[in-house]
Amino acid sequence: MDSFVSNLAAGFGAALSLQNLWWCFFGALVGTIVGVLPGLGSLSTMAILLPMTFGMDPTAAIIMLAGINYGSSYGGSTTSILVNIPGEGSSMMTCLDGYPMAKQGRAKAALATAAIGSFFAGTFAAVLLMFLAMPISALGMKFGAPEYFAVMLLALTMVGSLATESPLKGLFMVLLGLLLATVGADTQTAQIRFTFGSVDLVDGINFIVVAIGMFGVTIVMEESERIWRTGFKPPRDQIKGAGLWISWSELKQSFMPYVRGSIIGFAVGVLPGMGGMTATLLTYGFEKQASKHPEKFGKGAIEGVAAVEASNNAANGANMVPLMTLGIPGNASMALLLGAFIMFGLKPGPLLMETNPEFFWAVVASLYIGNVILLILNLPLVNIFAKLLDVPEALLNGLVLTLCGLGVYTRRFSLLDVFLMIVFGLFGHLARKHDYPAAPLLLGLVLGDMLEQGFRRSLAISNGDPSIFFTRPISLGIMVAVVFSLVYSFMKFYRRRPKIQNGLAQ
Amino acid sequence: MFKGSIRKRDQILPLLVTITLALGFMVSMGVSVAVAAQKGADYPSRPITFLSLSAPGSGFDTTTRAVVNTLVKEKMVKVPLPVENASNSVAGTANMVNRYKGDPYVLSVHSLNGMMRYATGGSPYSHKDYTPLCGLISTYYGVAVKYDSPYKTLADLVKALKENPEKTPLSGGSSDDRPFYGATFMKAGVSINKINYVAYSGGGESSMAVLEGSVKGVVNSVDELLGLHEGKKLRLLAISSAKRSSYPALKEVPTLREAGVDLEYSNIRYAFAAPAMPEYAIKYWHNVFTKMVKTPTWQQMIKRYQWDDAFQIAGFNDVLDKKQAVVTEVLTLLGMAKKK
Repeated sequence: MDSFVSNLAAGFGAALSLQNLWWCFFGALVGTIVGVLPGLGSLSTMAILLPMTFGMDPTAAIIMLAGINYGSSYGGSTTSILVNIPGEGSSMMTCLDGYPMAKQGRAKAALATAAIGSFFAGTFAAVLLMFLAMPISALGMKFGAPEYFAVMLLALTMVGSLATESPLKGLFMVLLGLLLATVGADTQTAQIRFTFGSVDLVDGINFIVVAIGMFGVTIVMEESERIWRTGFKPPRDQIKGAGLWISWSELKQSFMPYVRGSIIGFAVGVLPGMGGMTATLLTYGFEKQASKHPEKFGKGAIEGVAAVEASNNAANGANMVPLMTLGIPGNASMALLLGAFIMFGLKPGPLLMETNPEFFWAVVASLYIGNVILLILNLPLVNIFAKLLDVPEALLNGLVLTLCGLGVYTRRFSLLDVFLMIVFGLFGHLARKHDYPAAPLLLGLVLGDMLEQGFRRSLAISNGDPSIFFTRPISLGIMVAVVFSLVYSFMKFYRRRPKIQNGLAQ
Repeated sequence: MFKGSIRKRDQILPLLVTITLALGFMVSMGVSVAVAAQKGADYPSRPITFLSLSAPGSGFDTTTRAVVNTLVKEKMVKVPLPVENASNSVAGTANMVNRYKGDPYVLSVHSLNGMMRYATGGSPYSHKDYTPLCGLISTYYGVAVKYDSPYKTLADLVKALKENPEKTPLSGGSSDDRPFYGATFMKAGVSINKINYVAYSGGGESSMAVLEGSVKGVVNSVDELLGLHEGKKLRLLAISSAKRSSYPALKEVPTLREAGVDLEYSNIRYAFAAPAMPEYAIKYWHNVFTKMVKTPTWQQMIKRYQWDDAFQIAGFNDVLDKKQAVVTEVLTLLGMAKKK
């Protein structure tokens, strides 16, 4: 324990040096900015800035690169809340309640709860990483392909909570999403499916392209249509600027969602390849089911924003667990960080904590300090970003559309992506008019590949025997949860149904 | 904070400035103007784009950026060298062949992945459709099992695969590792079509599957397995190089030949340019790369990534021909190749 305390103290000492504090701040700032800009993710930013770090002290360099990573998930919430563009995949769920909040004049409260929730979860993740990295990584090693498949299935059952009106319409959209997910090269056999000869589709239809289309572009079209019908006057009863700062009662409302979001986010984030999207989705579904007023979700429930943002950041911190304990990167950003480790001559892997303890502890300490810096940086920014809502609507629409197009194009310089964004924007507009929700489609698109691969990997391992899903304890446990979740949503639907029919009769 | 006498316009200003700067940054990163190629003498007279064939952080990207960083740090090329990421290797190669034909201002780095894509029909282009410049580095593959696995040698694993192929699933980092897996176990006399090969999306995930226990063995680049081997989580049974590595933790690991499988196999990463590259430009780059591989920066770079120097200009096309033949043969036996 003595060495534990002294190691941590040494870590804080290293991270708190003026030079490292500066790099931490720099990384956090750059991360926040690229998080705000849709399309330009933390990944490409880290890749571009990597050469800059060659002359730097290794600890400072890793602290800066990690700062970009945390910062982008802070920033990602901003555009989701203000203009309904998810800056990154994991902030899509933030749109669902964040944007309605902004429309109701509660933008500042939404931004503030996002920043505070991110801080809470980031710190939570740092504590767990510090004390429990080893046992948690051992637990993560119990997850094989059948368990991954089961988690995906559980996430899919959450579609009920995303479809606000008709479950059938939600189901239709999720199946459409699953269908879209089959486009591109198959992971198992490298065969190309449904690309119709387009080389740009070999990687499949990218989630962020569809998300920016169906959220950002769709909203611009809706607003433009309204302006076209009613003239340039904004509906004053709806938007009264950015509104007031977060109130004490809203903060109290947010607290339990922070806790639940952090726990679920961390648990999912530990598993390599799962990603923040799965974490935020499970969190949102769970939060809605746990809520006393689920009908408010999707219409500006602060709990929705709080839980999702906490979950996203906890997952981000948890990604560090397999990297630090085993040298296994959980996602592409972590792979880049691993590349940086190697460049600096560090040996990531099970021996990292033995051979370079000072380094491990400096990164843990930087997680704490990075989160404090991000909170200090982001709370005042709330005021500045919220001013975006004072821009005249006609101008704002143009700005948002430009941001959408640039974000999609600069991701990989493909005009096909811009075209797809517009197509999905039009489709999203049509779908919205007829109450088909966009979120289930995106859910199907994201989970489709992991669901399919998990299923096929499992069956390859068991040589085609489907009992593999029910004979392993963890997989069986999750499968039981899947059944419960399904039964629960059906019961809720049928209990509501007579009311709906009555309503129709009247 | 922003209340009172300050006017609204002043409040929006910082935001607009931020956005403008950021947009400018994005645009300047992305735009590389392709003007028609000129004849010879003043080459290169404008920026040369390095097309990275995959996303940031991937193997392609790491190698491409390593080359660019070395050239920049050693001040070997007088024009700027922007890096542009293609959406994937198939799209990148197609762009190189069609869009940049004859353009000496675009370079890239390819690998065995292209041969695999060509053989399976994923990409219509092979190395014969563009201009390979020179070999750069090679990486070797390894076969590993869980550290406490009952299989202590490659022979143990091969025996299990022969006796009980259905119950001994193997994993790889992606479908790209299949040619190596196929070649190895075919040579070992295993009927490979009976083995359940599970492709994961990345070396990390496939190693996790072995640690978790449902998959019995993994094939991957040695560098992806090294950390776990050193940390006594995985045990490397054999590596595919011609002779043993001098790296301390790998000294004890036999080569495939020593372990009883008559095979030497490597993934090669090589520089290439568009088809119909002008002769003067080919000469220029042969000259630059010959100098580059000798620089301390490059030597340090390949040492850190534990790559092997595979620089070669003369006869390099023959090397590629031979590699393509092996990849196509193995994939045909696996039933994955597209009939041509």
